[in-house]
Amino acid sequence: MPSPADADVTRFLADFAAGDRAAITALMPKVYGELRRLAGVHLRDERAGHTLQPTALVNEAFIRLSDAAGSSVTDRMHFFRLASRLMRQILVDHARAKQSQKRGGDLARVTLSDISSPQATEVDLLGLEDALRKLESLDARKARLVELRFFGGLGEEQAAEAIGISRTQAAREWRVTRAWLADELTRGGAA
Amino acid sequence: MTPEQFRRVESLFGQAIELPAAERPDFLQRHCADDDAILEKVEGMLREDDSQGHSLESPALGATFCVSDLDAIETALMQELARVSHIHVLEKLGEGGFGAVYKARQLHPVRRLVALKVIKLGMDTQQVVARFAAERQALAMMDHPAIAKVYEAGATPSGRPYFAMELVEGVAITRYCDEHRMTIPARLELFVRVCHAVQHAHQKGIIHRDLKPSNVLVGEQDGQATPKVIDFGIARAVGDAVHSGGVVTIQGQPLGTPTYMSPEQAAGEPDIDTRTDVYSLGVLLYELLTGEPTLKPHTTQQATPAEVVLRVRELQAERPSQRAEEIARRNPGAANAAQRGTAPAALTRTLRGDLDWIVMAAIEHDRARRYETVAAFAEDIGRHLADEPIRAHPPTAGYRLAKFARRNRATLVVVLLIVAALVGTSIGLVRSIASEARARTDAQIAQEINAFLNNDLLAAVAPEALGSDVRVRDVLNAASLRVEGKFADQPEVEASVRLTLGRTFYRLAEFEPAKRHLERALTLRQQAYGDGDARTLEVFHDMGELITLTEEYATAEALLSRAFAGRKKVLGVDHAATLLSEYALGVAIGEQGRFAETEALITDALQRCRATLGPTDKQTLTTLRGLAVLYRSTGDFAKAMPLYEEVYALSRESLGVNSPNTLLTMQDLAGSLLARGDAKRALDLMIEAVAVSKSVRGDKHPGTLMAMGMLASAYQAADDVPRAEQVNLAAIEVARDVLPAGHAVTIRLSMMLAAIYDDTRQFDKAEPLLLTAVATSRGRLGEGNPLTQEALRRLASHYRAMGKSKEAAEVLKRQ
Repeated sequence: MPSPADADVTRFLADFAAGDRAAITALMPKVYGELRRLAGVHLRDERAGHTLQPTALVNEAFIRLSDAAGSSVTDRMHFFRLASRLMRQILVDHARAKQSQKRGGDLARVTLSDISSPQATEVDLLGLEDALRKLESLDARKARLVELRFFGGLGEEQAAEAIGISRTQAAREWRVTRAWLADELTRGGAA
Repeated sequence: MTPEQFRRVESLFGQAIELPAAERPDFLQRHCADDDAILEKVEGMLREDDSQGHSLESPALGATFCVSDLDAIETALMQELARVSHIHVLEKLGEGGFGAVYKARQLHPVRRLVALKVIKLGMDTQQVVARFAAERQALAMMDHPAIAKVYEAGATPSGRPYFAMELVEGVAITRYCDEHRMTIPARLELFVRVCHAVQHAHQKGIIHRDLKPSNVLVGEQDGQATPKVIDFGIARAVGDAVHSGGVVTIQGQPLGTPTYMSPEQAAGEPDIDTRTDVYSLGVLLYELLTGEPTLKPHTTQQATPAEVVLRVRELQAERPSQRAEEIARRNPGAANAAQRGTAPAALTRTLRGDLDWIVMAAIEHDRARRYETVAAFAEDIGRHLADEPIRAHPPTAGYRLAKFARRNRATLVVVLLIVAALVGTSIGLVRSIASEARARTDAQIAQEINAFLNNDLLAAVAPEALGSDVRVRDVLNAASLRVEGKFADQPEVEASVRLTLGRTFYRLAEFEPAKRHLERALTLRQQAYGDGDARTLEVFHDMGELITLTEEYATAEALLSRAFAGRKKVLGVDHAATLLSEYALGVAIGEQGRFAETEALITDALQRCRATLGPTDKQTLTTLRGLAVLYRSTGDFAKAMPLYEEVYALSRESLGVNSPNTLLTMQDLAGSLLARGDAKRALDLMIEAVAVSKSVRGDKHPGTLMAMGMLASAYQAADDVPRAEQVNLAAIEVARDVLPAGHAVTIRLSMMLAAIYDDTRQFDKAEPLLLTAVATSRGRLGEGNPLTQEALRRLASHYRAMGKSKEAAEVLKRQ
């Protein structure tokens, strides 16, 4: 069904680009719903693994929500900023729900792993969330960067563009942020 | 840590990584001896920075989150609900096809605990809420201890409809009965109380529409089992929104379970009445008695919702006693008998007889044969419990015959077609009596036809004669054989019988025998009535349609021109038969590429159909559709799309989904949607269309094969290439098997398959298909035929996709 929401999203994106902060609040539930729906579809498809790739999801959501009008690159960046935040919210909510169910250790553990190296250490998503919260209070832009790269699935260059910094700067910030986060996760946020 | 400390950490880290590893400890000691926290942090960060293969390394390359189910969606939802100010969500109770159910506290208008049902996104909230509001008055009048009240309907901030209703503590009735090992009589008594509640609602004018175990909860009050029916008014509000969209899915997910749904509801019929609840209760009782619903659980697990709906509609459940026996045989360890406090053999005996008939009478497909009311259903159960004779009877001979016919549905359809056509013919003949002499002849014809009908045709389909697996072909062949030489001195009778048989073969796409019978009928009528007689013109028309299908378009045009001109003269220009010929003539001309002439004919026919037959008449719809097809084939989507949407909506509404016309419009619409890039809706339409076509027209009908081809293309458009290939190959295989060599359907399917291969860069597989398509189409239909032209264009784009622009240009030069 051609949903009126589609047209709305495009308009909201345009408003937001023009600096209307209220627009983003109005848009949230729509994008949120869409991402959740997509997450649901993906999870259903993956009978065995139950894996979910934010990159694919966010892109799919973008295509679905804005395909009517040819969105500009700026719109796209706004979208990814928004979508990555929502994706983070969804996954964290999910992890919390799992944890609160306390039904068997396996189920309660939600992990983050890198598909490019299947043997990689698994990262506790809730641990990551705690660390991110902390990072937000220390340096909000770096937290944003993590959000974009992890949950929005953006590459270095795109992420830099979305935040509005140079690529070199993004690379430098990413390196320090990654090290900071990794240390937080390894030591359980002792510091 | 403070932001200041963090900035220091960042700066120190930035400087340290520029240094050789050996110099770093000294550097750090020098710069942060004053702050151990910072020192420790930067040391840790440097360690992490050195380590390789960390999971934080390259998230953008495909970080994958492993999650175990869909709770993310629901949890987020709970938070959202907290924003609905006067309802506070407390905990999640469960999940169903419509959405999730929460325990919540309603603060206004009364402070109370409620069950909050939140409907999944994807439904039209305003419609759902409005529909609920419309029924609210009636719902408020329901007052029965076994009915849970619905208090409120509204929408969450993100637009999900929700319902707040009486919180019921209890479990599904099936589970309660099993856990308490309730005997059959105890189950029946409990079930009768459920019936009374439903009957109460019916008296207030409320139909439940979604009765199933999870909507009939049983709790305990003073140690007594207390049933409570929940969700009254909700299926109506939600379900209609779904059915108006046609398929029982919301964005691909099954809505509720069709297992307990009545066939008329599954078919999406608009005039649902209380008997739909009788059916659902019948299935529920079936499960309470045997341990399984009528539709075996394992048959529905892998099926798509559309398939399940089809199964519901075609289901022929065995009697409960047979099912109980079968469960024991299938699974000797089954607990169902023990859960009923008995042994398998005893359970079968208990169910045999009364209970079999009571249940079967409740789940009759034809609602006219069901219990009229839930009360009547409950009374019969009461009679059984009191050992009085029940009202539902064991099947009569007629009932058995109907059952046989249903098992052989396709056969029955054909037999009915033939019977209807023959009876129609004889009545028509009798009515057109002009003189006494003529009357005798016509009466004789009618009599002869009836005799043929009874002695030959119906005898041929008697199960005793051909065994239980009667096939359509057997019936028709038997009938064909009997016509031969039977009417040597009654040419008029033979003509009518042959016309009917010819049409029947034609409907089944058995073109050769169809042509044989029609040709004979034409000759006979020409001799008996002359060329200008309406009865002869009728055969001209039918021949013309048939010949159009066999693609001898010039011949078809000649026949149809004759039928059109003749009918115009004899019947008048606005007669339905004349308009039919006008349309068919337009089609035959269009197939030869003369679009302007076609457009003029079809537009004229359409205008006259609308005026004289009405906008939803079947023939008007066919004509409307023809015009849409015409515009599409000339590439004029702007004109075609609205026509497709119109004809689809009208067909579905007035003819139902099983009508071949609706099927065609579904395909057309899907095809146009594909051409315009809406793969998702096209896919949904085609999945349903193929399922319906298989059941209505059969697996091997060219229409079904084309539908499969389009389904494959829809899968392709939706990026499911393996399934696309699989579906198309299955269709081609059948096409090569049953259709004449080089048939247009086979050519089209091959071109579609080639497109799938080109799309996945399997050029070596695509090329032979396209070369054959071009050669076959050119050989059979000629160079200028639209199909040949299309095949050439496909071949050209194949070469372009391979980067062989020279070959592409070469091909196009031939156009």
